Amino acid sequence: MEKEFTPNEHWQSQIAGFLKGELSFEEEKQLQLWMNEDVLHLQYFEEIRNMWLGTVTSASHNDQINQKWEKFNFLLNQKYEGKKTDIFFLPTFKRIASIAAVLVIGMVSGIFLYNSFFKYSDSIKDEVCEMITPLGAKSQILLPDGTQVWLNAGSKLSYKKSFNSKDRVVTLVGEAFFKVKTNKEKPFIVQTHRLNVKALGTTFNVKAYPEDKSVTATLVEGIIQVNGSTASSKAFNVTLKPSQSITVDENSVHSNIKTENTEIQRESMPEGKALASEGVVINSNPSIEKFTSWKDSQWFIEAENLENLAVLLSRKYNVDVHIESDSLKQYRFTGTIRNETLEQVLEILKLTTPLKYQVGKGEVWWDLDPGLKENFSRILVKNK
Amino acid sequence: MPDLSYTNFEIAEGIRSRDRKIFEFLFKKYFNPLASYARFILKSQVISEEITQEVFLKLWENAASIRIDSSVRAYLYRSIHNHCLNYIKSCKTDKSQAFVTVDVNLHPDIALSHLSEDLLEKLTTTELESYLNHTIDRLPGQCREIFLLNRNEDLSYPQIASKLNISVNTVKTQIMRALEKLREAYKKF
Repeated sequence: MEKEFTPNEHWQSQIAGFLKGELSFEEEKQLQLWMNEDVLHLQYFEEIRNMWLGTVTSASHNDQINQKWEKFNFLLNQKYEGKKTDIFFLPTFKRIASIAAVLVIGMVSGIFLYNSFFKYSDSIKDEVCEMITPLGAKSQILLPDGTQVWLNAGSKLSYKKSFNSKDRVVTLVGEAFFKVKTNKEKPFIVQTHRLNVKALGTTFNVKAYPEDKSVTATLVEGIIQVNGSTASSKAFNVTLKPSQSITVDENSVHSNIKTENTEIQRESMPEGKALASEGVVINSNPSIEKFTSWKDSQWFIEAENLENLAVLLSRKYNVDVHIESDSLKQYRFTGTIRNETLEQVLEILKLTTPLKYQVGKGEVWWDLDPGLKENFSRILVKNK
Repeated sequence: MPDLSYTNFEIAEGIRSRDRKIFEFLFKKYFNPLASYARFILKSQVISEEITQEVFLKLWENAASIRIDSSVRAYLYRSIHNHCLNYIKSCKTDKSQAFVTVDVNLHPDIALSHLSEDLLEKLTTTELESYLNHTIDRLPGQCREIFLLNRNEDLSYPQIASKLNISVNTVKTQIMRALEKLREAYKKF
């Protein structure tokens, strides 16, 4: 009879956590040490793990797996069959006759979630073309006029079929980076719920998620005109120079200043900042990567507080982030994210913020780690 | 999922001729199990699903030349296993991925300890699966319910805990109890 070994409750619980991928880096390290302590520990872990793998999960929800299959089937069509009639497989692709108008150049993130479809509005003449990038994905689009667009996660870009016949107007919900093909006769206009950007042949980024606290347009190259009205209905009209950005605050309600010109007032604002109208701030940014790098493989994050960062990460990784502790929201993070997984990013956050997290399916819970907080504050005191 | 099954021969033929019906059948049957296997090793849901899709793409690409010796099931598991190993390898060689020294390999290292392809093949036979399912059926009520919520519905421990109004620790204890029972049964198998 071989020796039976059963670990105590703590290690049982840690092993269960590991199987589900719910342990933190530190806990995994402890688990590994424990396994190396005694061959019985290792053996026990391996046997339990084998049973875990032996009980294969069956296909869970029908509609979920159907959706995945449809996407995969779509990808097969795109990759191997050209755009054949098979594409009608998706109900949303029913009337795709004019798909030639939109050429999908590629999916930046390599995640297969890419959807584009056409919606017909009431008037037949006003056919609208919509491009949607779901959460957790990015896509790159070539518009009929040659303009390149990078569409961030959870964003929608739409335009009428008459696009490029006399003008070039697109509507954006979410975030996109535009490299506008020069055409002096037909200005390129991006409409959002808060502001409009008019360009002739320039490169700029617009971030306008309706659920965010502010809307921002950032100019990389050339010149753009931005107009719109603040939440308190004050109109503004501003011309931006390269590496400037304009941010419209959704929460500004009181305002007496009317500035409907291109002059930028410089009063008591900090260096590099200017107020065009109450609730509208123009920034001169030495580094604009912060605004535009989301579309590249390197994503620069600069002094972003965890509350905002939670929103950015939830779009990028398609998870819901719940912050359980209000004091945690105030901590700021600066860093670069490349191809890290969500878990890797969270471990990195833990290096500089007192973060404690738990990962569930499509959900992440953030809480303040009192132990880490104390460690960090001790370091800060030491450095003073 | 349509409740139809194919013979091994039909499946092998269907793969070879890139029959969409067969691919749909395989995809719907194996996507979740394979993704869950990958997630066990790599921890990341997003990457696991991406890699699983890659496995099916490879199956499509190489359909004409693929030789499936044992079963499609074994082939797919071997394939996802190798894709995971390759992914880990590419992370290790591509230094640009880690800008802060975080040991991204710890989790896979633990997950993979002494996990060979042989064992994997043994674990993924239909015989063992049905034997284990039989054992699961005979688990005590709550223990079985928790185990199935976890393995079939893929709920996290906190999710199960709040659903059944019990503590996360109880969930973990019950999961381990179920696995212990399975381990005993496996030794007799």
